[in-house]
Amino acid sequence: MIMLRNILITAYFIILLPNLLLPQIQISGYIYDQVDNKPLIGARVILDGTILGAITDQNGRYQISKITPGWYSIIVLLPGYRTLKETILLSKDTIINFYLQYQDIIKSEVVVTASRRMQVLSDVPVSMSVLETEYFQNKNYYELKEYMNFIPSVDVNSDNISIRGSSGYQFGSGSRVTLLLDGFPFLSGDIGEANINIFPPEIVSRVEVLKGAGSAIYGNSAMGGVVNIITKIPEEQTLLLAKASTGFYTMPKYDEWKYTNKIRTKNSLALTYLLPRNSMKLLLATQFLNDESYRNFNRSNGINFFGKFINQIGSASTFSFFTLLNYKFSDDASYWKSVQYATLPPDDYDLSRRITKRRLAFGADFLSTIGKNSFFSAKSSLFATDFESNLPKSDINYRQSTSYSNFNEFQITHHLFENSFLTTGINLINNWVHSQQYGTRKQNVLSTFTQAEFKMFNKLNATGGIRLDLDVSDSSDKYFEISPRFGITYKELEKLVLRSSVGKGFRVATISERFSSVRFSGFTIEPNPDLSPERSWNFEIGSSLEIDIFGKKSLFDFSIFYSRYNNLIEPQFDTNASTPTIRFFNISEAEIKGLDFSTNFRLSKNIDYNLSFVYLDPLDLNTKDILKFRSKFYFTSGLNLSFEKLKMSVLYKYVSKIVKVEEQLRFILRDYYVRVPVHLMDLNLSYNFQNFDIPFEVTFSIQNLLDYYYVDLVGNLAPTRFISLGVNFRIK
Amino acid sequence: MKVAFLSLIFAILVSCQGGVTPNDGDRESFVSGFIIVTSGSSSWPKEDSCKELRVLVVPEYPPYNIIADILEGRAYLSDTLARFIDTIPYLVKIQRTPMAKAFILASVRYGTIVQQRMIGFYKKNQKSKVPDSIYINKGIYLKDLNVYVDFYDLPEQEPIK
Repeated sequence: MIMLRNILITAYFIILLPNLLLPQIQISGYIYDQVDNKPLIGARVILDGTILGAITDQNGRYQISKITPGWYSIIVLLPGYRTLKETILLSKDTIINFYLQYQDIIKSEVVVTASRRMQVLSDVPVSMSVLETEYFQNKNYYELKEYMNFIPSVDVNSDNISIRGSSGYQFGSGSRVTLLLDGFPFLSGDIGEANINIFPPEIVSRVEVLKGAGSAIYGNSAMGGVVNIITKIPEEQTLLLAKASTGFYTMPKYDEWKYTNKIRTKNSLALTYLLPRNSMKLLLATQFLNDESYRNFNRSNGINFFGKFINQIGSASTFSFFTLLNYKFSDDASYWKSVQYATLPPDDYDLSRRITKRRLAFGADFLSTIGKNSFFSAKSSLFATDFESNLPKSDINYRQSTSYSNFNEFQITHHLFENSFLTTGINLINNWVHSQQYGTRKQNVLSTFTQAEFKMFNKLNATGGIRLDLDVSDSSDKYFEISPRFGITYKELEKLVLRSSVGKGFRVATISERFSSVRFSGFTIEPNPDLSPERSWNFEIGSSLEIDIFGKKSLFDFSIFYSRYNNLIEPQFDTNASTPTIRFFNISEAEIKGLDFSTNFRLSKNIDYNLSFVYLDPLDLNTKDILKFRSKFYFTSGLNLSFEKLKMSVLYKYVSKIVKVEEQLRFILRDYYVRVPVHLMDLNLSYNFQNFDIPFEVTFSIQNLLDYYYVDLVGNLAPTRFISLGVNFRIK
Repeated sequence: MKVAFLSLIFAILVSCQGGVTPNDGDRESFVSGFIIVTSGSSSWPKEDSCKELRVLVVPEYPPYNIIADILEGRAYLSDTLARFIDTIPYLVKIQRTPMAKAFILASVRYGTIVQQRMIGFYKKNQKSKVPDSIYINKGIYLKDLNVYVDFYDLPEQEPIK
């Protein structure tokens, strides 16, 4: 132990020594509004490609110290203002003031997901959707899934995320989208579940969704895209946020679905504490959730806790630690009785049947500069999941699984020369599972990656990278994957951006897909340890354009994309087996092509409007038929109004009817074929009572305003109309 | 602004129509389970004497005129099922319910449509030599009604008419 400590201390000084020896300078100044010259508070000033940065104080002043002399790109960010980026030579202590221009349209400016470092969105060669901080503010939603409902071409179910049709219905196994929290992966070690509802919404600062293969950056499971949840950082002052919400499901229109005369409620209490103290920052959040549900087999109680501690060590290093705890106790039915009794479970379901799900995660990240213009990040985390039903172990419906997923990563980013970066790293994921259904299993994935970004002629930005992954699992072959990626963007006067990218994605089979051995509605799900990894190639070409229409600034974004999938792992009813069997097979050769269009108008200073349209053509190349469980059209729109203290938003989503489902489901599920298009409309209102001693905000939401009934994939009625009221206190 | 409001109005108009209703599914009942060949998959007769396998749900046992019962909607049959394996899932849709007395039989066709041989039936006790009847209520989905088949000890039957 002492030896290990000495090694760590020695390594620490070796890494930091170059910083101590090099001359160090500082930059400072003020940030102003370009029109009225008022100082701007809370603007972020970042030295691109480093971990150095500052936030302007009450006077609009910033200061960044201990900078190694050299060329730097300075990025200045403030929501509502156009992001400023300037390249300058810093050779001595420098004072620079910046003037920001008010932005006529709402658009995302920076992202971290596309290249593992903060990057201006217009430099990213793939399509991304970003939910900004403001999006989370005036809504009375309880779970993160509800916020994600209106992202174009993204389908979020309780345990799976699909982007641009990447996933169908997987019986709860194997996500084709990687879920990250501040860059840490959150896929369970056993079934590869990507469940965003385990995070309390109050901790979220923004959500970035990368559409298309991200395996060259994030490896396994990122073949359909990446969802990265960025948590809040306590910035200005100590703050306690308390949010109490209560709401009820309105009675369904149809008598057959009224299974009780009691009003069914959903309640939540959330407390969030943000503490910035000199070089230390602390975020603590907890949420209690009780849902009586609109169905008699979906009731749940849950607790979420999240804690994050950040310690700035000098000006060149940051250490952060997080922990997450999630506990959920709920009913354990998968499908309805029939569409006629869509709010009741099947006749043979015992209403006392429950399942307890627990998740615990903790991790640490150390970020520091190394010499001139380089910095490294070392991450390590453990994500433990456990679920168990309350049935006797001898019962055929008994389910239990405990899994641990350990993630370790070391990454170095080197600022090569002006606006050009090289990022390289190594990571290791170990999954360990002990389960009634999957046995005791281990899975290890060792990876190394490198990617370079070059800026040429000030207009052209090229990105290239490659990732090597080695998958070693129990009782199955080793798999070695090479995932390259290339992308390019071209900018003209900041108004027109052209982008193109090509990349490979892959996903190794999860432990549950390989080793499942469980009875399910009379069928046996049997193991298939020989499953090969799924692979995909994705190509995209797109453009974004800012133009004036009728004197109003408008932003248009358009892309066409093509994805080719090989070896897709899908559950199949094995008709050749001697018993009725479901087994995961590498079966599908598939392609998904489509186009994605979105636009954003600011109609006046108080009103903005956005809409998007996505067309998908998902084709099963084996059968020349449409892929199962996929829709072809997505349409979303959002109208946001803001009048001083009053804010209102109306959000709408349309998804065309799922064209084809698995016919063999008829043996398991009644009315499996019932499906309709999705029309979902939410209304959100909030009013801010700022003038009280303790400022508070009242939020009012109606989810599924039109009380339109649709089906969530198969055999599940989607949430009916829900009306809720919330009160948010801000105690400084 | 106009575009925004027009889109919203369009959405509302479209949404007010349609959606899932309780009447969208089957109002019929279903009977399901497995044909379990207790004598093993190797005991199946040759294909020329076993051209087709189906499950029938009939109102009386032994069935006297099954073809007429099917044509008149008193008896129901499954799709053609897989053969030569030892466990076969089946599903039969029952259109007229309630059905006070129903017997579940497995039958193979060895020639023309009327040349059928009953090979097993649903019974609560595997050792029983006679089938058990069930009550099929309206709009119900009955599962795990297994039919046991022993090709070395087939039930006796009157020729199916």
